[in-house]
Amino acid sequence: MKQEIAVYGKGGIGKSTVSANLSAALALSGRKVLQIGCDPKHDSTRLLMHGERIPTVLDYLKDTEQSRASVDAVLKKGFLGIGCVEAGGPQPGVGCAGRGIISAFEFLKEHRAKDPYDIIVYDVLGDVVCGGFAVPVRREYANTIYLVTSGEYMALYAANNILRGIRNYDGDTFRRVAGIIYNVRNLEDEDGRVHRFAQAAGLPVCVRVPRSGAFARAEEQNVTVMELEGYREEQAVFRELARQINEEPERYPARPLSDEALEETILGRGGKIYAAVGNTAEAQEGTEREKAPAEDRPDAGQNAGQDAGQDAGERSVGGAETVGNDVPDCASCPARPGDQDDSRPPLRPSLYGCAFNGAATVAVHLTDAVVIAHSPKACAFYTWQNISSPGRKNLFNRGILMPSAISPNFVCTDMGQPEVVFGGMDRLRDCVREAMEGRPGAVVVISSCVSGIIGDDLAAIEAMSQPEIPVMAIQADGDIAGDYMTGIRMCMRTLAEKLIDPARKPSGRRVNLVNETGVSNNLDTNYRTVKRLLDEMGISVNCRYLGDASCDEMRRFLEAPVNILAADTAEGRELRDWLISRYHCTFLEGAFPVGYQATKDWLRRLGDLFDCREQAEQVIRAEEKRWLAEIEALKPALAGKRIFMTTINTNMDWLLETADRIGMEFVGIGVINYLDQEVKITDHPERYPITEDFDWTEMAEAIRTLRPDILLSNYASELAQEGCMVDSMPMVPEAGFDAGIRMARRWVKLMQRRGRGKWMDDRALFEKYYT
Amino acid sequence: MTGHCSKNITPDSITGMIFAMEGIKNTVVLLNGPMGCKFYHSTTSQFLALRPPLYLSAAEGGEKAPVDYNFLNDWFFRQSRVPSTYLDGYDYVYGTKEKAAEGLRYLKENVGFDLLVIVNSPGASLIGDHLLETAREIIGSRPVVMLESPGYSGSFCDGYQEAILALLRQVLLPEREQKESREAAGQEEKKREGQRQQENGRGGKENGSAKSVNLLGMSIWQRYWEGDLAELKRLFSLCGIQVNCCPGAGSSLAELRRLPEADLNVVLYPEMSRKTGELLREAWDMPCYVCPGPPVGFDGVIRMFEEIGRILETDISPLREACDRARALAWNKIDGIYQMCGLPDGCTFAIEGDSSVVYAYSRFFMEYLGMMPDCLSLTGGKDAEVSEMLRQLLDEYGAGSPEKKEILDTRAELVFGEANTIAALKTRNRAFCGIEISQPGMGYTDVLPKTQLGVTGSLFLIEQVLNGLMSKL
Repeated sequence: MKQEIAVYGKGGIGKSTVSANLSAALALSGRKVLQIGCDPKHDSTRLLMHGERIPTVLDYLKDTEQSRASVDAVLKKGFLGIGCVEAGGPQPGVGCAGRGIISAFEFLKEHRAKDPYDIIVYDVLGDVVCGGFAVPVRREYANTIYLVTSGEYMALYAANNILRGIRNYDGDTFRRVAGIIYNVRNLEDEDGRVHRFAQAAGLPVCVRVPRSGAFARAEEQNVTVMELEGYREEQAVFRELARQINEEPERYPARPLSDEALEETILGRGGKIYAAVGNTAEAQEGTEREKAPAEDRPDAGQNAGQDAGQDAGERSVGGAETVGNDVPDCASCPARPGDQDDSRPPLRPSLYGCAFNGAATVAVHLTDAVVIAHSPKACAFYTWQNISSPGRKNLFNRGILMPSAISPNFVCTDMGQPEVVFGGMDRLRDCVREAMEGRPGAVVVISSCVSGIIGDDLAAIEAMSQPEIPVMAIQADGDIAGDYMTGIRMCMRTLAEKLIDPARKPSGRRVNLVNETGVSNNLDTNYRTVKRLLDEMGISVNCRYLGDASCDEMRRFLEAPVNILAADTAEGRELRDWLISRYHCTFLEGAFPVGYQATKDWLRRLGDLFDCREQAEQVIRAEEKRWLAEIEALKPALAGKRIFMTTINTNMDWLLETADRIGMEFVGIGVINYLDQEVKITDHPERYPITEDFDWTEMAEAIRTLRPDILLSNYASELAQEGCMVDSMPMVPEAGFDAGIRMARRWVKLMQRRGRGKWMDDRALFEKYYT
Repeated sequence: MTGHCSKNITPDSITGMIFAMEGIKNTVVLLNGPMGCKFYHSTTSQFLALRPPLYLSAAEGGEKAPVDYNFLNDWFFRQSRVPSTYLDGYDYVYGTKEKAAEGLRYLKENVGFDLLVIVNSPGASLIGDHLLETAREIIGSRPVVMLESPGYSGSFCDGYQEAILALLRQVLLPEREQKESREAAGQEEKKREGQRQQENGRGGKENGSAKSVNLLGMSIWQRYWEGDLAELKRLFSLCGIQVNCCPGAGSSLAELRRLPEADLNVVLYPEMSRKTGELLREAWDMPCYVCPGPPVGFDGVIRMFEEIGRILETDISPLREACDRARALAWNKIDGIYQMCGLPDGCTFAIEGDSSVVYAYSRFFMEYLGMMPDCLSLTGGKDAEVSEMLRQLLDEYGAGSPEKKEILDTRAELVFGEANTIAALKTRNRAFCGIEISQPGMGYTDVLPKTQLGVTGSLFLIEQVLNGLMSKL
C-alpha cells in the first residue's frame, strides 16, 4: 500500500520545515517521495526546490482550460527527485481556500500525480477550519497522520483540534494517528507539557526536534537540514522519523481531549482529571474512577518511537473525548441557535424554494433592467426554467406572448472554479460592465449560495452605479437569506427603495397593480381580465409592481392615487403595509377579485374611489345578467350534488358561492396547510364544514363516510375513487366573474360521463412494464 | 434591451449528473442541497419529461406503493427519484452530514432502490463534507456513488460524463475486480473461466451468441430518448447485433454490471462519453467506436453501421434495405414539395446544441436536403475532433462561418433547438418554423415515442422540415 502521510499542526509551528526535512530523509532512504503543500501561502516545498517558487495548482487551473491542463505544469522535481506540488489558494479574505484544496486534490487525482511515487507527504494548514482543509485527512488520502506541536498551549490546542477533525472521520476505533512530532521551542516545562498531552491523548512522541541554528542556516541557503554539512544531531531526528515510517509505524485512534481536560493536562490547573467514560464527553472529577477506563483502552501500552517507553504506564493521567452518535460537549464548537442540550440541531422547517430564485423571478419583470445571477450556471438555469415555463406554455397553448417570461433579461456570471476559489467579484464587475454597455434602465445583481458562502461583497457592486443606471444588489445568498418568498420580499423592497421617486405626487384616474408575483400560467390572464375591467371604467394602469414595469414606471409609482393588491396573500399584505407606512400609499380594499360577488364589490369600491360609480354599475349589470344565466344553465346537471374538497389554497369564496348558487352542497372542506401559514377559506366559515390542518392520509376515510358526488383537490390524480367525480383546482384561480363558472361547466361535462376512463385501471400494467 | 440576455444560461453540469444517474433504473439520487436546486429536477423537469415514480420498499408479495411526494415533506417534493436534504444556511455553517445521514436512514428503511447516488449542490460542495463513508455505513450492502463536486458552470455533458465515470470507478470497476479475485481464488471456478475464455476468445459470452454493443452517451434528458433507444435497438437488430446496455438511459444496475460482456462500446455523443469509452478500453480491454455524432439522416446511419459492421464482422444489408425503402418514401414526399416550390433546396436553417448534435444534423440537412446553415450555435458540450469535422464540412460547402452568428440574430427559415430559443425568436416577430431537438420543449406531451435518430428519425425530421416550410408555399 502506498504510504500517504499528513503532517498537521498549528500555523507557524514548523510543519513545512519538518515536512521538507522528512521528505528529504525519506528520499535519502531510497523512497520515491511526493510532497504536497496544502497551505494557501504555498511555501511548503521551497527548501526542497532550493528556493525556486513553483506554480500552484490553483493558480494554474485559474488560467488554464481544463481539457488542456497537465500535471507537469505544477509537479516539479526537487532535491533527490522529490516531487513537489503546491495546492495554493486565494488571496487572504477572498474566495474559498477550503474549496481550493478540494479542487487541487481532484486535479491531482484525475491526473494521477501520485502514481510514480511510493510515499506522499501532505503538509497541511495548521487547523482543520472546514471540510476543505480536512481533505488530506480523508481515508482515501492519508493513512498516517503526524501532529507537529511545541509545548505552547495554542500549539497543543491546535493539535487537539486536529484530533477532533480526524475523529469526525474515523470514529473511536479507526487508527491513523502515528503520533507527535515535538518541535522544541525551549519553553519552561515544555517537555512535560508535550508528554502530558501525548499521554492523555494516547499518542507517542515520535521524535523530538531540537531547537537549533541549523534550521535558520538551511533557510538562508534554501536547502533542507539534511543537505547541510554537519548538524548530525538534527539530521538524525529526521532519519529516525523516516526509519519509523519505513518500518510502518504503529497507528492510534484519534482521542481528542475536551477543552477543560486539555487545559488541566497542559497547565495543570484545578487538579481535575478527565477521562473517557461511556459514550459521553462529560468531565468527571476524581482520580480512581478514571484510571480504569484509560488503562482499558485498546491502544494502551502500544506506543512506539523513542519516547513511547517512558510514556507507557503514565497514561492513567488524562482522558479523551469519546465519539459516537452524540455530539461532543465541546466548548470550542460554535453555539447552535435554539439548541438546548447540544445533542441535536434545532428543528427547522424545510425552506420552500430559495431566496435567490424568488428574487430573480421578480426582478426579471423590471423590463428594461438586466438581472445578473452571481452564481454558477446551475442556479440561473433552474430559475430561468421556472420563469420561462409559463411563458412557453402560454405561447404554445394560448398563443400569448409574454416577453419577460419567454425572453427574460437575465444573465449569469457563470461562476467557475476560479471564481469559487479566488472570489467572484472581478467576474461580477466584468459582467455588470458588459450589461451597462447596453444602456439598460438598471442592473440588478442577485447572489447565490456559492457567492454567499465564499463571502463576495455584493453590496460593493452598487458603487458601479451610473447616474441613469442604478446597480442594485440583492444579497439573497441562495437560500441562506431564506426561502422563495423571502427572496420576492427582498427584491420587491430593494427595487422600490432604489427606484420609486418620493417627490412624485398622485394625480388622475390611475392605479398601480401590486404584487403580481409567481410563475403561474394565470398571471398574465388575470392581468388582462383586470385591465379590461379597468379600461371599461376609464382607469389606466400606472405601474405593475412588479408584473412587468420599466424603471421609469417604477419611478412614477407614487403618481397613482390608488394601489391594488394582486393577490391577498400574507406576503401581499405585508408588502401593502410596508408601502403604506413608507410611502403613505392608498390601497383599494381587497385584492384582484376572483368570483362573482368579489368582483362586483371590487368594482363598486373602485367606482367610489375614482368617482365613477355609474360606470362601475354598468359593467356590473352586464356581467351579472350573463353570470346568472350561466348559473341557471348549470342547475339541472349540478343542483343537489355533494362536494368534498381538499385545498392548499385560501380565499375559496369564488368557488363556494358558485356551488351555493347552483344549489350544490359542501359536505367537507379539508385544509392542507403545508406552508404552516394563516389560512382563511371563506368570509362565512360558519356555513361550511371546514377541517383545518386536514391530514392527506385521512382522505379515503373521509370519502367513505361522506359519500361525495364530486371530489375537488389540487392534485386530482391521487384521488381517483370509485363512485365520485374527481377534478383538480388551479393553484392561482382566474380573476373576474367567471372563475367558479368555468369550473362548474367542467363538472357538468365530467358528470355526463358514464364511468371513469378505463386508462385508470392500467396502473398495474405500467408497473409491470416500466418500473 | 440587449436582446441576447439569456444566451449563457444552459443546463449546468449538476443537471447532467442528476439526469445521468436518474437514468439508471431504480436509482435514488439524493441531492444534498437546498430546495432551490431540487425544484427544477422535480417539478419543472417533470412537466417536460414524465418519469416513473420511486416506490416504497415492498413487503414480500405486497402491492407496490409509490412514495408520497405530492406535498413538501422531509425529503420529497414532486418527482420522487430525486429527493433532497433541503439544506439551509445553518447546514452550510455546521455541516450537512447530520441531515444527510437522516435522509439516508429514511431512504434505506423506506424506499426500494438498487443504487443510491449522492450529488452535492454547488453550495454543499464548498464546505467539504465527506459523505461517502457515512452513506456506505448507513446504506449497507447496496452500492453508493458520491458525486462530491458538481462542477461549477460546466456543461451538461461534463456533468453527465463525470457521473458515469464515477459510477464506474466507485462501483462497477471495484465490484468486477472483487468478483475476478474471488473467481481466481476458486480453483474450479478458475478452470471454468479458462474454458469459457477458450471457447469465446473473451470472457462471458456463450459460443455462437449474437454480437452486442453498449451505447454510450444517451440520456433520459434527450428530447426523444425513448424513441431514440427503440429505433437504435431496431437497427442493431437488423444487423444481428444486440444492445447490451445503455448507461444513463434506462438500463438497470444489473444490466450495467454486464457492461463488459458487450463486444463493442459505441460512443454516440463524444462530449458525453468519449472518456467513458476510454476508461472501459483501459479497464476491461473493450474496443470502442466513437461516432462523430448521433446517427441522424440516412447517410449518417449507414456510415455508423458500416463501421460497426466492419468491426464486429456483421452483415448490415438488411439495414441498407430498410434505409433504401425509407429513402424512397422520403423522395416521393420531398419531390412533391420540390415540384411545387423548389424547397427544401437552398432553404436556410439554424441549429443549436452540443458540437456532435450540430454536426450530425447539419450534415444531414446540407448533404441530403440541400439546405444551407445560417447559424450554428454551439451552446453545450464541445468535442475538439467533432468541432474540426464541422469546420471541414462548412468549408466543403462554402458555408462561411455560421458558428459565429448569435442564434437570436438568425433569419433562418427553420430553427432547430430548444423551446426557449424558439419562443424568444417568436418575440422578435421572425418568420420561421421552430423544430424542437432538445429539452425543454414548448409544452407538447409526447405519448407515442418519437425519434429523430436512425431511419425512422430521418423520416420524422424530413416530415418536420417539410411541414415547417409549408408557410413558404
